[in-house]
Amino acid sequence: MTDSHQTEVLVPALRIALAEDSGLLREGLIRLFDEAGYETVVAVGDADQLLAELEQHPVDLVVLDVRMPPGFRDEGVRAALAIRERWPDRSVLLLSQHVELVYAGELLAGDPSGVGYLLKDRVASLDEFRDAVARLRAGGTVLDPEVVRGLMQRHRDPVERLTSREGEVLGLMAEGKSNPEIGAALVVSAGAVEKHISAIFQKLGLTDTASGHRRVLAVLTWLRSAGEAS
Amino acid sequence: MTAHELIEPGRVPRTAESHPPSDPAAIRATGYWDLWRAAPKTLGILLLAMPFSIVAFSVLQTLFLVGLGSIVLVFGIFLVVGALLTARIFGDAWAGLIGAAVDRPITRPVPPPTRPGGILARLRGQLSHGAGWRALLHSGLVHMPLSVTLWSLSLMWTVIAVFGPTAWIWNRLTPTSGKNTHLSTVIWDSLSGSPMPVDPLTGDAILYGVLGLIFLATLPLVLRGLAMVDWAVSRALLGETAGDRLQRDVVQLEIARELAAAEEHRTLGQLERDLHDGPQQRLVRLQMDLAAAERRMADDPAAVSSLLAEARSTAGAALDELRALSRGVAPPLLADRGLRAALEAIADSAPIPTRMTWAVGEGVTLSEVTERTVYFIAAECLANAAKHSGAGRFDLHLADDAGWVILTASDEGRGGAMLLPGHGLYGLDQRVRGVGGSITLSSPDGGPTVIVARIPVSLGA
Repeated sequence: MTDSHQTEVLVPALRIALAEDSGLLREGLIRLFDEAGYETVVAVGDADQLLAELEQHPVDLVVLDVRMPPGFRDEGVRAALAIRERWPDRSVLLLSQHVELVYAGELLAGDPSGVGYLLKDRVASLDEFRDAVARLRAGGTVLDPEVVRGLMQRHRDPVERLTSREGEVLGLMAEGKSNPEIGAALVVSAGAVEKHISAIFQKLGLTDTASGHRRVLAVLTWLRSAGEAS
Repeated sequence: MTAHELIEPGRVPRTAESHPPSDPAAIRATGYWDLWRAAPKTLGILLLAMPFSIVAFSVLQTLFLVGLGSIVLVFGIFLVVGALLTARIFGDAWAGLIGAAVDRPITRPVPPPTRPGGILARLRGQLSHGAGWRALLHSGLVHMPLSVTLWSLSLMWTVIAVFGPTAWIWNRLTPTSGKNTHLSTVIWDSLSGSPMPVDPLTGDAILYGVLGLIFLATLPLVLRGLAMVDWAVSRALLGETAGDRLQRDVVQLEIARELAAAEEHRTLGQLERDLHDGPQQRLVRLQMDLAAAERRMADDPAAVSSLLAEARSTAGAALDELRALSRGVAPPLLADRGLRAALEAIADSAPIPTRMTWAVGEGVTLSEVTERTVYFIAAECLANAAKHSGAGRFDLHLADDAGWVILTASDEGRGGAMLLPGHGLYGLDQRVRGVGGSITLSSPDGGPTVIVARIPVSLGA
């Protein structure tokens, strides 16, 4: 682990470990990483191999599929949790054909900084992928809009009190977007975003003491508490 | 008769019978006072037996004998079959009555399965159905003399029990000619040889009173015993034989298989149409766009980029559709984490607040087919409640009972749900019966709605 800190300074390219059992997608992802200027250090077909390789190679980001051999069930989720536990400084991006709220909850249950959960479709675009990686490396969280939609559905009552614009802001915030990114996505000024956010916090009964990523976490925690609250 | 009519409320399917619910009628009257309480009903049915069996006897004898006599004229065969069918109807009715009299229901054999083929096959099916002949033997021959005997005995016993203890009242009202022989004096004389110390009328009153009290005390036992004799004979002839039970199982399995096959056929057909209308069309379009982009690469780069953007959105839409379809076929979470996690997830994201409780025993393993079936039933109940009930909350409860999973879905909505064709839950009924399970629905107008489905735990295993 100390080893990884030392080498990080020397090698500027972001190092990625990839676990994906479909050869077709693995090749496609490696090509995408390449184009983005990242270096694929490890590319394997299942979670056990991935964990073994991670012992050998210092990497910055682990990208992995949810369903992998041998069981084709939730191997990726379990591996992601194990990786977070073992190497807290390595970011983890879970990619899947389906998103499940249950898995999102488990991934975010610990320290959710540097954790991402996206549909495979989202990384088709180089820009979106780069953007997600940058947020992860900055200690942020990346959540698929599908997950956020599911979480917001659980809190229908209070969420319905938001204006539609505030709802959009809440969604983007929960996906892990920063204020400038939200402003850019909705084509509004940074000040307007701030105003919406404080209105949201007031309506949801959250105290707006933190800023940046902390605030995102507050929103996520609130959204995830649905099960216990109702 | 369609496969559908074969399982109707009167003919309880095996699934329900092998696990009797705690039915108060099943607790049999055994105590003396219980027998007294049941006595009027028992007597009523014993007295009814005679007219009933005489009617049955006359009708069946006529049909059968005329049919038999004219069998060479071909139409006789129809009369014989008619006699068999009529005998089954009488048999059904009598089995129900005598079963109720002694609180021991007689399970009737299921009718012969309808075989494909013409009228000859049907006739042969009826003629080779043993239960029909046994019913004919019962209602057309044995039951009449038996019921007349039982009728006389029960009537006699009742009369003595009623008039004996009250002899002292009407004894003195009957006109006497002085030449009357009194039973009490005759008995006293033959036993003691000396004259009876009381007057003959009082002697009679005492004798009849004592006899009557004995008859009265034993009345409920005798009535019960007589009814049991009828019951035993009726059950032997009208009840199910081991062969009938086997046949019933076969019939039910056949129905279940047909329903399952029909349901599978429908689902696969729907899936094929969905694949064809959705992702397949989009992939064709994607291929066309990519080919067009390839052609214009050299001369029109601007057009290429817009074609490619379009191709990408087409691919995205195809993916969305495939995802929705595969979710419908097998929800990913169900495959990944099993039934409990999958049900918790649908409860969490349900459009109405939903509580899922899990009481399936630790040691009980559900097969994959069972899990899938239960999942879809739960999802369908929930969707139906969300759409129609107007309820503010929904409860899902899972438990197990000797090899069965019991799913209880309930809401406090407006009720009125039905398991009939054209209603939302009809497909559910088909699905459950297709796997040999059973489903009951209680949904009075104004609610609440309670659906209970029983599914074998090891389907397909």
